[in-house]
Amino acid sequence: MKTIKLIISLVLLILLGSCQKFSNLNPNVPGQNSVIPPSMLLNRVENEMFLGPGQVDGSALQPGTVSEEPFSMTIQHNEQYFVSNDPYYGGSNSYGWSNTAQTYNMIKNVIQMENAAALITKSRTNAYAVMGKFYRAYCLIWLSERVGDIPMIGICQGVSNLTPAYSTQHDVYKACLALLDTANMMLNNQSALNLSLLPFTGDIFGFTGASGLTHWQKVINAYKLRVLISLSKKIGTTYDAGDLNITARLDSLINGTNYPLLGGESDNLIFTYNSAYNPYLANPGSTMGKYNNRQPMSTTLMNLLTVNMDPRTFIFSTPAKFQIDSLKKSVGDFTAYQGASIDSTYGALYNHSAIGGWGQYSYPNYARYYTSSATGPTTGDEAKGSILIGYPEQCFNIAEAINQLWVNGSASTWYMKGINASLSYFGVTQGGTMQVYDEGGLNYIVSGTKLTTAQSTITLNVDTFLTLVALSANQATAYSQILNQKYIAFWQNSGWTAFNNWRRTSTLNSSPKVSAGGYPSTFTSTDPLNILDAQGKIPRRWQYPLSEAQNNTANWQAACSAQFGGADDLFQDVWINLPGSATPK
Amino acid sequence: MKKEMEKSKKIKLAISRYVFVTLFQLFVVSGIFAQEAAIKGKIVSKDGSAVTGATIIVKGTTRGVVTDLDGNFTITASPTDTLTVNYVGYASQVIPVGGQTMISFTLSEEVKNINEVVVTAFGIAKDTRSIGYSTQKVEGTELTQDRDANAINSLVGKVSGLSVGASSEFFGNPQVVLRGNTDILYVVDGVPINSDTWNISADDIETYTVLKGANAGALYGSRGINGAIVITTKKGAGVKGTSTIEFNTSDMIDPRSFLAVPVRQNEYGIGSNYSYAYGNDPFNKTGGFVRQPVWGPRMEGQGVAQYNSPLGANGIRTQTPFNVLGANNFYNFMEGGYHTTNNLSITASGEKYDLRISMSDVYQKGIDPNTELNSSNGNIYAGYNFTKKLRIEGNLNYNYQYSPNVPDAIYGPQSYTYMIQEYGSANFDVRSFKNYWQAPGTPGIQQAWVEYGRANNPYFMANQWLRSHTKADIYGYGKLDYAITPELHISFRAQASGYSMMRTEILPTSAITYSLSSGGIQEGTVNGASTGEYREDRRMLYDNNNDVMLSYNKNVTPDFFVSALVGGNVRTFTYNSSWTSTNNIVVPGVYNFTNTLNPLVSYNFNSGMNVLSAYYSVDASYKKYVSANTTGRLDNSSVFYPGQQNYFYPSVSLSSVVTDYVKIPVVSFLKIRGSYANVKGGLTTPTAGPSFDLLGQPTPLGYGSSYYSSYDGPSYTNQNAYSINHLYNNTPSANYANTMANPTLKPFTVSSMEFGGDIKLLNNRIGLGATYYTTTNGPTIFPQQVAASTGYYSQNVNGITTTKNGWELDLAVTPFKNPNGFSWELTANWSTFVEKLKSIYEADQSVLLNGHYYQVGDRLDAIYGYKFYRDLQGQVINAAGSPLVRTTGANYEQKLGYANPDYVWGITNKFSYKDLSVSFQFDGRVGGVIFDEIYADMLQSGNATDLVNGAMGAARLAEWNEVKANNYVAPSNLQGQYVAPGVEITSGTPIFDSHGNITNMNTLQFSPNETKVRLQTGYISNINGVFQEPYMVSKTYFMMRDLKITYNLPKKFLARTAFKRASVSLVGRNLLYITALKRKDVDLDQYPVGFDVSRIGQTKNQTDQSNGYGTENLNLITSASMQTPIVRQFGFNINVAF
Repeated sequence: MKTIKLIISLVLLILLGSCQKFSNLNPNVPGQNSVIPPSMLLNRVENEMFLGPGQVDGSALQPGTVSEEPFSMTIQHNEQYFVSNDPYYGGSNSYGWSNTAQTYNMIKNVIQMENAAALITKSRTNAYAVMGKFYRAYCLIWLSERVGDIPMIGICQGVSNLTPAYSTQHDVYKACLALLDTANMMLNNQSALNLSLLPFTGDIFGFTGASGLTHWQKVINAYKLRVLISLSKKIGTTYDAGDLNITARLDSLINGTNYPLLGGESDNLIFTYNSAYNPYLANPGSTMGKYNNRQPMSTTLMNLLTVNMDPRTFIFSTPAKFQIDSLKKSVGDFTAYQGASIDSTYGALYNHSAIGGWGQYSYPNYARYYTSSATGPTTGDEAKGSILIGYPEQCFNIAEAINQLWVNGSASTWYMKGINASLSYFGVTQGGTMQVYDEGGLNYIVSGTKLTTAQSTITLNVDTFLTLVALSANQATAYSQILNQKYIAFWQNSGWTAFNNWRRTSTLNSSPKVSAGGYPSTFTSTDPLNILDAQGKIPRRWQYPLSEAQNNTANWQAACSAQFGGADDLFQDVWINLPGSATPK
Repeated sequence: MKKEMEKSKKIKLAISRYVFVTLFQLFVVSGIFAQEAAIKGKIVSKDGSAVTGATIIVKGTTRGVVTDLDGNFTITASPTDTLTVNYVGYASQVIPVGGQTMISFTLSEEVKNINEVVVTAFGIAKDTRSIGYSTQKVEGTELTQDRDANAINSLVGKVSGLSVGASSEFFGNPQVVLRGNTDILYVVDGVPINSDTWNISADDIETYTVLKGANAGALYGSRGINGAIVITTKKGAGVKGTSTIEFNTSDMIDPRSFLAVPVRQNEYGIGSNYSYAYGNDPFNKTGGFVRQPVWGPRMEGQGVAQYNSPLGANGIRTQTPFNVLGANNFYNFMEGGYHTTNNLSITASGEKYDLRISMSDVYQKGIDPNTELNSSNGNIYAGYNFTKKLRIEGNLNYNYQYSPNVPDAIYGPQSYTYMIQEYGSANFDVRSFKNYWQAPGTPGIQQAWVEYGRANNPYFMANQWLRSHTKADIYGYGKLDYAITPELHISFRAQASGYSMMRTEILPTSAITYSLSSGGIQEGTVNGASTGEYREDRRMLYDNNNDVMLSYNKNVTPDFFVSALVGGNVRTFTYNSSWTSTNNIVVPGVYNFTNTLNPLVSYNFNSGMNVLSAYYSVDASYKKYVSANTTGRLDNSSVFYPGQQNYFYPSVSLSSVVTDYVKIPVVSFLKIRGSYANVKGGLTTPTAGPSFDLLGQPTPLGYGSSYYSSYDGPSYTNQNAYSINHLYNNTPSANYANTMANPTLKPFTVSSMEFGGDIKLLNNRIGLGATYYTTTNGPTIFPQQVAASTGYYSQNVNGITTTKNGWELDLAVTPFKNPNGFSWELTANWSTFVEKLKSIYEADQSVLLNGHYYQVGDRLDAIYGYKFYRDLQGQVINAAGSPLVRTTGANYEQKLGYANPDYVWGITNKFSYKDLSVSFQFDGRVGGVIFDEIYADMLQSGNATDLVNGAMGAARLAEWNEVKANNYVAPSNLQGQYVAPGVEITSGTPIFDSHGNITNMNTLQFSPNETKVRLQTGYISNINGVFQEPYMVSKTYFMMRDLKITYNLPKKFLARTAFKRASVSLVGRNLLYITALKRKDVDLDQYPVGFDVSRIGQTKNQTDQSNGYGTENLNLITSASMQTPIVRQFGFNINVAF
């Protein structure tokens, strides 16, 4: 009896302990059927827009990701604002990239966002649908601009379509321009956007509610202007009127009324830093903050600045130590500001750098870009935020369109607006004074004596600069002036736009080793190899994402064949950068 | 407050040790124990003739005698002892003394050479003769003398196919690798436990049995897929009505005798470009020499502005002599350590009961200052026979681990090796910084050190930057066994295993970390220094197994024996964890969650699973010819999608002892065996990191490493779910799954086929076991990459199948055997395997793993990276004085070697003469490569000794002399003096193919490179991070693992004391370490695993503290990073029983 009792109680114990039932689903995260506020998905997409695709997850998951943040190394070297004198700490000057990152997982979240918003508003007309159209276009163009033809139809369907076909770059741009047009039209009729059912929130750029959407409308149109300008080679060809309608669209943007553009600096799409969660990259609180002396300014930029006595010289950079200490120049002397040539060897760059004890180069302005007070951002981009789509670029884009006679207007007016907007963004005013410090953010020491505050103070002369850069009457010269000023205005902002502009116009070629087309004239074994890839050239495009080559092979191969004669060639141009007559393949 | 807590902890420990000693004395003084006496006896054969030369040994000791010509013997034994009789050609037989003083024993005729019993699945003891798969047994007593703080670490080198990479970190889990797979199941007395290997006390273990691979583990189900280590604990068995007390103490010192430690140069000091100048502000926040490597001026006593040079009147720092003051900074900073292990156990048994109580305590003082490890263990076993038919037994093991400070050894300014050896300069004596608050520091707020960008004052770290570890771990079972008939038993068993742990980190104000994270915690004061943080990581796990088992043993006919069991098991698993951190503390020195500037950063993770199982096992044997076994198990696991939750897997094995029915000359024993097994499982993960890691979130820290605890619960990797991150200004964002869930995903499969044989020659003096196995791993559960345009990174599929073929050999030789004189036993083992990719998914021919596309047929342990371009003669091709650069990307990498060793070996020798024995073990691995990150970092930092020797040293000196000649200022046209080895192109233009290889090598002309470049900036900088080839090292090493000299006190002497037996040993561990490379900067022993297929699809976002493995390569270990250096250990062991 005792035995049976024992057995029964033990069996009961076992059964009791086994009653719990568990699900195969993770209880810690929202599952696929969860109701996700669309604002949370917008938040994610916008973060990726700022950081660069794939950056949020870390580059390990997505080969080819490159941070698009201002002051991120690759982008600054490849756009030739900085030159690294030390590849370990300062990054590589090489254009040694191959496969690109991709934006389809951003689009996937855009689709989830659209669906979530449709669930709430029971309609496809809502604020998030507008943002969805913009971001679909943004993501597709971001990728197509890098690689050429891309999958556009049947994308982001998971297992339902594991091998989406490729659309030509022409078709991608055509569809995206239509998306941008639609977004603008929807924003012209905000009352239909069901904002009472689903207010517009979650925007990391601080645009919320109806006014935020109005703001976005200007940004979207400014972005469309950037896209249209990037199609400049197709203007006047069979792909313009009646097809992509580039000229007509430019005209409606610049001279029309239905497409409001950015009205001024306050309309910029700005990423604002905050010290607790999104610290400024070059903040001294981060390890990055100590490295400005590993990154001399490049001659590409410095020559453009100093030749015109551009006061932004003092904003961006510091005078070279050698020029001040040994040649006894004043800190306001433009000739004391010297860039480093990106085609030098690291050894030579290092020798001539301050860290090498010599100091023949200018460095990014430590006092402005690498310091902050304990209470928060006070200066520079840290306080003002970084431009993603900005008014200065818009002005220069309009000036370029007018200069090239695509639309009517005064190129000079927009050119000057652009320059002034840029000066204003960087805080430059006529007669304004500022302190010039050394690369460590301290007063210069000349012959063992610190310069006094008075000796370190300079007065900004905007007027002289404006006279020197006044737009030439010669169309070609003016064109070059517009592009150069646009390039300067892209200092530490707008991601890869400066590089994309160079690909389109090929004017960014200060390096004597690089010919007008961006190709070095010769390759010899003594060529310094730290600026180019192993083949001695600056690539003209990125290769397709590895996963496309590997898992969508037939379509990828067909796209490579149609565009580049078979290879996924880094050194051939994508269709938009080919001469106007080239047929989309 | 913190100090007081530590103090009370120390007092508690002191008390517990005092209790031990008191108990010990108590038992010694009392004389209630049975005395030993001389016993006479005679051994005869069945026909009555005297057996000469049989050995009689007192079981459990090394005491023995040999029978004389008349078969007589005399031996000293206590009434509770058991004598073992061994005679060539006969089975080993036992005689319980049981109070007899005159024994006459007849050897049974049965000619059985081996009847060693091993414990197999569910704790079922089987005669090794009938086992058709490979197992290997290690006696617990072998591992209690020269002890490691971790019992499992001691298995290294003893079992073929088993590699153990002992971690040198406190509570670091060893890498236990069985046939190339990690994630081994631990089973104690038949029930799986959740183990970090530290909760097993060596003194409580009777035997360790290693079940190799799926074949042996099949019955355990998924958890035994990679094999198991089955532990049988000591029980209260013995002669009824007696008791034994055993005391074992091991005390070892760990002096600063480093086996593997990075060695730095002591010629050049801090700085760059042969220059250095400390800034004019107290903390060197500014100026050109912030966060410098060790490429500065040569330390020749010349004037250099240093951290302690006074400021001049003009506010500019003066220059003071630059000298070598701290050549031995690392040695001087580190301390000698020691560790002591004490165990007291009491065994007793009566008419109806048997019981054992055991208490163990491990205390280790680390070689890093201010570190200690404590692990206390209590184990109780009790069995009670209600009736002859009904028995209940239970076992409980409680383990408490505590360390107030677990240093973090991996790369970065939290590591002493990094700060002193890798990036440390010798221009100061570290000992002058013992007062870390000295000027210009501020007590409680700002540390003082020689620089403020890269490193911390190590004394400051040792005393202020504290990571504690506390873990209470418990496992135990209760079992009821009822004999329905003598043949038919039913048993019920309830078992639980679990832990509760907490790890904390105090990051003091002004500590420097390499926190580069954004969107998480961002430190924000001077030079990247912390404002201070407090973090807590809490984890609780409960794992419960209940089972019912019906077993039947019967001789069906005289020739046919059957043993069968059928059972059911319910596993219930729950886990709960949280990780919380302040986000910039406000008041320095107050480490509490209320003291935070920004909202707390907090994560939590809960999980649970059920596995219902039914299983059977049938053993059958026919006459003496053949034994067969078959098992099957049906699982129902909640981790799979409904519809995929049931899965069945079988095993079958056959064996035959040929010598039982065929006489072969010289061969005394020959057994052949073969088996097949299939095991399924998946969607669980063996270890769990912090909550954020289990949620798939990136680390909020951005520095240091995390602790991974044993888990074996759901991984939730097959889900279409959103992850929530707080990316911008702490606002929430959502991201939809990057890996597509697959509702039809099936469990992964491992199938293993094994053949082997055991042969004994010359009356068992030579024994050789050989096993060949073929394991088909897969299809695994694999996140197969999909085209980006699908919107996802990957989809879960049942893909990737590998085939592993391996050999294992075990040799046991006894060249001399004389229990009364000299004996020599030698055992050796050797194992090897190769694993290749058999298939991928559907028709796929290549797969992206670890950044490379592997093809079907490739070895998956191949490591890819960038090699130099070489001409047809193999000379490195240079351009502009340094190696020609390659394009980067998955299609542009070259094979650098294989991660897995070619083979692994171990040899143990044991010599004994009467009561004295000497044993020592050598083990090692041969082959395999690994990236020596330490060497790469030290070349980068300027501290590698190669940079002061040979061609590089000469170039560096020549460059320095030029600087010196220029009044100690590097001239702008400073001539590089280093000529990189290799050639340069003199004519022709290289043409590159799509993999970056030069296709027109024949048309290029080369001449020896003559271009001089600067060593640091023209050469080292150009290869570091660009090429992996120069930093790949062979993983071959050889270790003299231990040396034991044991003296068993003679019986005659002991007879006059209360002791039954007593032994004293002198022991040494890790005595000799030899590698293929002279530079011993890393303990390669800690990297036993190369490619591990069972880790495919598993990700970790954080570096694992115990082994420093990086974040990406979970299934392929490619890189060796910093460790706490391993040291030689010396000590003694005393074992007494009474």
